[in-house]
Amino acid sequence: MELTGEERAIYEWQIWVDELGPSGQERLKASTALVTRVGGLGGPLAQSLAAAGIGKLILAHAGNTKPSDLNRQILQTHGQLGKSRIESCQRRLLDLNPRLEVEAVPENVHEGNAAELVSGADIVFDCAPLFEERLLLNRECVHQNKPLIDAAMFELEGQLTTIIPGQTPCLACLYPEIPPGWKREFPVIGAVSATVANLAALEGIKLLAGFGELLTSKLLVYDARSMTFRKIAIHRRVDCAVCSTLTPGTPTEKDD
Amino acid sequence: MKITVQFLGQARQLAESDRVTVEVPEGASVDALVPGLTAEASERLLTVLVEDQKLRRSVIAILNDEAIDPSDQDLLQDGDELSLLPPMSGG
Repeated sequence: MELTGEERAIYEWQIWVDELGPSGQERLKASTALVTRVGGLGGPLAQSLAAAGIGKLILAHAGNTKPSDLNRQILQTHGQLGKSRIESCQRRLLDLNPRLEVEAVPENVHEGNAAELVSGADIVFDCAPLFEERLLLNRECVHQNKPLIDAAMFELEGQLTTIIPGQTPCLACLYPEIPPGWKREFPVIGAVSATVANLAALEGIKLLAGFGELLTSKLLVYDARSMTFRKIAIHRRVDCAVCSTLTPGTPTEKDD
Repeated sequence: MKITVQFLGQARQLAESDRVTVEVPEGASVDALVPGLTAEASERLLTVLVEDQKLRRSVIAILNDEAIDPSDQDLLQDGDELSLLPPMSGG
């Protein structure tokens, strides 16, 4: 998808990155990303994708802005308290990049919308707090053979992996069960979620533009206390209920 | 042999210390460490880490920057540091 003169001017500094270049920028322009929940992770992630010149974002997030969102959900503002989160996300991203196409869905991922949301995207970013949502999105990405960037954080730690169905472990390989006692609300500093979000955005930009080494079959584990990053080799689970029958490049039949 | 267990994520928050040392026989698996952990850990920490006296399937056991199968024997060596990473999420 050819760049306009305005786009070449706006993205000039990143087009100077040899690995990206004009062809990578064109691939970003032609791409659609789904970001599920646009909060402390999904907000800064969507912002970085919008700034980088992705063509279209599908954003899914329910509910209204609360005071406790404001330490990390950087697409929300005080003036938005009590109003729709997704409306604020859309408005602020379009302020940043009016060329961006935004499909704003005022819902979280659930059984009734997951397949359609995933089908419209070239890449999926999972930024939801509940394992039910994350595992549902993972299952749908495996069924539709879509790459999934999974990001998470807790307190001063974060983690990130890139899932290519049939090639890498999927999220159900890592978490074959809903963890007991997991609470939707947990401690985190906004700068930690934003760090992980921007690393996830970079993974997506690399994947879409086609350069660099991805976190495939690797789990990046980040600890802000000591500023350490570790890349952990992870493996597919032979008995994985979601992806164990999948070989590279062969989407599964839907079983539901 | 002595194995140092490092707690990450939610386990770190629930543990009194971010590391404990557990003594196990030569050739022990990660699952064989569990009784040693059980002696020192709070009930909430055990809920996150342990099921049926084994490491919970959703906890990632990390040795030398690789996720390992907790039932595998002969992977741990005296003096190793093993990290236990329970699930974390977005939001």
